[in-house]
Amino acid sequence: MVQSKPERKSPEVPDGLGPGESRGLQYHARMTPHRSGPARWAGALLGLALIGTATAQAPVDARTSEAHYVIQARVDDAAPNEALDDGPAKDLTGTYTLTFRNRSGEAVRDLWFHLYLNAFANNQSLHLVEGRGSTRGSKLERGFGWQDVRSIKVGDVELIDSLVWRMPPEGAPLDRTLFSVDLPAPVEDGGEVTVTVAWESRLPRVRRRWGTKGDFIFLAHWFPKLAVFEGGRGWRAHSFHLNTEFYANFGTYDVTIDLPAQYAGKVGGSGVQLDQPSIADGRVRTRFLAPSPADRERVDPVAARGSQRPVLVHDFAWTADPDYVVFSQPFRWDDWAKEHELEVSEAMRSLGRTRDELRTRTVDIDVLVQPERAAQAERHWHATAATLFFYGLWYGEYPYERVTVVDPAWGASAAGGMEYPTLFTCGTELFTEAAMHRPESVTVHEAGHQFWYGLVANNEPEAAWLDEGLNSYSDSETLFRQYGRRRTAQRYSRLPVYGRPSVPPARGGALMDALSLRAIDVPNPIRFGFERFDQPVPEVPAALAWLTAEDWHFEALQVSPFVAWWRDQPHMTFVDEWTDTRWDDRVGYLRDPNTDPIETVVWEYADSTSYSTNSYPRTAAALRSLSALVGRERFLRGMRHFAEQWRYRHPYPADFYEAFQVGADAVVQWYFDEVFRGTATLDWSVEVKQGRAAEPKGWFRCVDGRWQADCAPSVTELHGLESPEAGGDTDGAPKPLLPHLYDVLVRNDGALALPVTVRVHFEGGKTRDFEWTREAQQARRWWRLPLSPGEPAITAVVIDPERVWYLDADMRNNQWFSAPDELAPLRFAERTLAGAAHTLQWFMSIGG
Amino acid sequence: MSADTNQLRTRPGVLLPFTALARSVRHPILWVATWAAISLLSLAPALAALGVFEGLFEQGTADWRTLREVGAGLTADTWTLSENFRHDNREALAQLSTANAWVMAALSAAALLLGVFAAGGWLQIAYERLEGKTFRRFCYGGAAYFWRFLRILVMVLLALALARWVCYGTPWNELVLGRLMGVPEFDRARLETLESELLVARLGWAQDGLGAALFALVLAWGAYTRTRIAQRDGRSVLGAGLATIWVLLRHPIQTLRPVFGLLLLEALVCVAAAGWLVDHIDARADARPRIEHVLALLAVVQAAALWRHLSHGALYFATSRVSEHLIPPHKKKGNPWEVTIGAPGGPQYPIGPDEDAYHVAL
Repeated sequence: MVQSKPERKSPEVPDGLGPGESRGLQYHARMTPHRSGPARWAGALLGLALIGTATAQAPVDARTSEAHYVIQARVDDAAPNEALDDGPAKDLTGTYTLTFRNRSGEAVRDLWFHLYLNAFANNQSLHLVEGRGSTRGSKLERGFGWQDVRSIKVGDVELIDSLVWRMPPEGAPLDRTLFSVDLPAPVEDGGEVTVTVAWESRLPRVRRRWGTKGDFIFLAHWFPKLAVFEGGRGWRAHSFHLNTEFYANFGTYDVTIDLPAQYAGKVGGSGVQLDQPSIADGRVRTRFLAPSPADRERVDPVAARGSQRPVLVHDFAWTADPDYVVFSQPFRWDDWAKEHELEVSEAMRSLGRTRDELRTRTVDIDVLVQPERAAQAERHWHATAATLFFYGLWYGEYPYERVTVVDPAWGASAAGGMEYPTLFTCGTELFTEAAMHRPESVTVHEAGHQFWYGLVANNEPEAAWLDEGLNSYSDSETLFRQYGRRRTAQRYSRLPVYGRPSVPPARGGALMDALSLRAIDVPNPIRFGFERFDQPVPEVPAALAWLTAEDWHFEALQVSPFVAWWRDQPHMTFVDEWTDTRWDDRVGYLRDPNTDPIETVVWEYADSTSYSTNSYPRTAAALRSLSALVGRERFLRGMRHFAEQWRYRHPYPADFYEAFQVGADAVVQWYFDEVFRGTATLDWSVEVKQGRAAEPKGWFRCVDGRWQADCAPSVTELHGLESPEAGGDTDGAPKPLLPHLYDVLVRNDGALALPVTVRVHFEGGKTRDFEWTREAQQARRWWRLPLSPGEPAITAVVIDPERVWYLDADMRNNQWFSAPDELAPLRFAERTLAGAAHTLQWFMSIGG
Repeated sequence: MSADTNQLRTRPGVLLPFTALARSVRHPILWVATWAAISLLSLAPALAALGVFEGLFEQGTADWRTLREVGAGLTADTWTLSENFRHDNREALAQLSTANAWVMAALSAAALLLGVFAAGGWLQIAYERLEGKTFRRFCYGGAAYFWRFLRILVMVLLALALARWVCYGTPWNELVLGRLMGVPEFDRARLETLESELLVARLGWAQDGLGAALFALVLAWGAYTRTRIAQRDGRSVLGAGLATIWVLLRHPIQTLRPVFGLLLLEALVCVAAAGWLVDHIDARADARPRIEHVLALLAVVQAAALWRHLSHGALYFATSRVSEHLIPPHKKKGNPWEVTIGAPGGPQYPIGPDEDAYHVAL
């Protein structure tokens, strides 16, 4: 099942573009496994031998080119366009110097750049064509923005004339989010080129991810961004699809932002702010360095064990809002370790590290929060700190000295819930509580992306699950450990009330709405009169449109939320509801369990549901089950090894599988092949029948060969029992109890086979475990448990009694109990009665 | 006019809600009967839920005692439904939800009509001031006023629709959002051009609060209109409605104070007391539920429901008392409730030429 020696795989030539190829289409029908080259295997094996020592060799791959930016940008107010803007507008002009260091193993002849802002230039971009004109559920009709390059130079050589727009094939010929320019001379492997770029933008209104809203500014991917060149695969650059995220080179950023003076002290950015902002002539200039100077000098102890890479980042985002309230407090590992000693012990044991080796650095956490949500600042801080602690414990410390947490302004929530190196945005609303996991849930998730994506920087468009899925697994583990289960709440006029109504409100369909008087449409007699007598219906002013409308629409009992609260009487009638975040991943996975494999290029998923299911909860459920397969300690070792080896690097799925198996010391490639690359599902079930054996009765062939009625075998003889239990007697002599005959049948109705324990409980407290192996399930889809007849009755049979597998499609039939829960139906019937009685009393009070 | 009638002409005191409740308490058969009628209707969705949940909680489930014996990893779904249970049984739960939504829509129409009937019954009892045979007179009153009060219900619903339109339709959008707050038309659904979420929340509360206040006022107007019809034996509900508006405007404190006083008392019983008890029972039951917890919840919730029916009766005792003070008898018809025989304290039966009167054989 789980072997201890990793398999040696034969290297393959990876698929992909050749260097400098101008094909704008780098899409594959299915993600082809990115296999390693021979040099990497040698390095990996050597690294395996030297794990834990400071003399480990740095892994080598063709994806470690770097991009170092020095950027100056200026933002000014602009005159809004009445037709296209929906409020104040802003323009940005900028220049930067980019130093590209080629480590791809081959020469680079051109440069590809992303212009992500152009996804919101018009409704013909690929992003909006795929979204049918909508972003995050709302139609984009105002607030467009654009981005344009004015100049790209290498030295004095202007490259702009060689600009070629790289358009996607998916029916968006006006998309302008990707372009290339030719270099005057190739950049050889190991060489570098310095490029100067000047650009300008009309900043879009925040509709998805970035932009402005009033004076609030949040910008990410806001400058022409160099794409990633991979040796043997070329430019891994795609137009900006609806569901894809980002992929960029590691490097450094030195960014100076020039804003109106009202923003002084209210600017946040990746890395750290260098010095005090300079204020002059009504402007404020703020400079950021990412990573900070101190971080650049520091040796990352986690990378030292694995990737041997320096401390770098792969993006720079920033924000400014004169209204920000700043809450700042350091995260100290020792404070958290005291609270979670068991977790620390588990990590020490699993990873074979000392407490000191696991201790992570102190990190300053800055929370930039809107004034009306200042009371939630501490909760944002706490959730971020929890993430730094748990993720740091499992995957290695967060290596930067600061992290910035951003609460977007009202009306800019589309910028929320997104991650950037050392800075991320949350999403919250007023009147929430920690039990609702809001903002805790999104904060932990986005803070977690500092590790998966920020430090281990997968190609998100091509393998979104490699950060989203690993992060989803990690965030639900963190949330459960720190905050417990999530409590459901309904809202009445924004105010939360815990629980769920026992009686659903009558809603949906014209007849139901009419019956419950929520909404009634009555034919308009005035219009009817005109039509009846063949008269034209007159034009009326808009305010009097009701006079000539088709129907009159009455909403008598579509009530104010306060009235609805009185109608529902939630304090008396609701049923409390809790959700374990870990099992919620299973529920999320089962929304779409088998349309696509997890390992699918993002734009090749069948639809958004398949993308979101596979990238997030399905991967989380699969990882949690992987932990069951190899054991928790090996699992932690496997994940840690992957995190260390690929820190500041760009892994692909095959790299994850390989690194995990090496770290866990387990051969489970079959699991990755079936669960991550396949769509098979799992569905165990158990059926139990039992009953007393029959007393032997009838004619039996005796020893002397004659058929007699009096030589029936005894119960003990017949069923091989050693010592019969005495039962009730009818004639003064104790009579042996008839034994139980058991028939326990377990099935697997899915195509996926995973080893599982089946536990049988007997009266008197005895139990017996059976191990149904993967091989046995592959040979036959059912198994009748080898149970000899016995005295005690079976009281319960449970498949996976420890509940370690999270992939079963239907857990209703995973257990059998002789005595089912009889109280629950009464409980929920009482709740329904309560809800109905008070709701109907409310209706009665309206009637009279 | 009798001495009792003279007393009724005096202004009702501040404690009218309590005296009205005391009068209502003296007719337990009535509020128990209306409670029983509603409970009977409520059994429909409750029994449907019982049947469905019995099917869901078959051999695959167990209570907490059994699970404790079985071991770790499993949690009971007795008191709250786990995420796995909710997901794995989602089709059955969705079907139950849809079925019950339809049932409730139909039952709500029945409850409206029951309310129409009950209002007539309560007003009959309130004006007759009987101490016995109240259930019969209640039914008599319910039948006698049924069609007039049904027309009042239509008026009330139209008024509620109007109130809804005022608070959530064009007037609010144009006057408040457009002119007062300067929100452009394209943003009136999302209000993102406003400067903060708190401002949007406060605006929402103002809107919802106004909606709730108008809702309550319309219901109070409906109650007083019914009372006026009963007091004067009127026929025109529209006339009574308009006249009631005038009375409410002239005497807002006297008319609305007892009504909202009763509402406040109802809130204290249902929200504060019953809500606290339910929380307490839930907290004790969550980990180790027993049948006693279910029965306790049933008792608390149904006791609160009984109170609401009691309070419903008290409402009409209060409105009748206020109306007798504020509304003089019809100039031509006089006071129909004075056409009785017998001394105060003795049997009193309404007689008269109307079909709904009956005679006593002495």
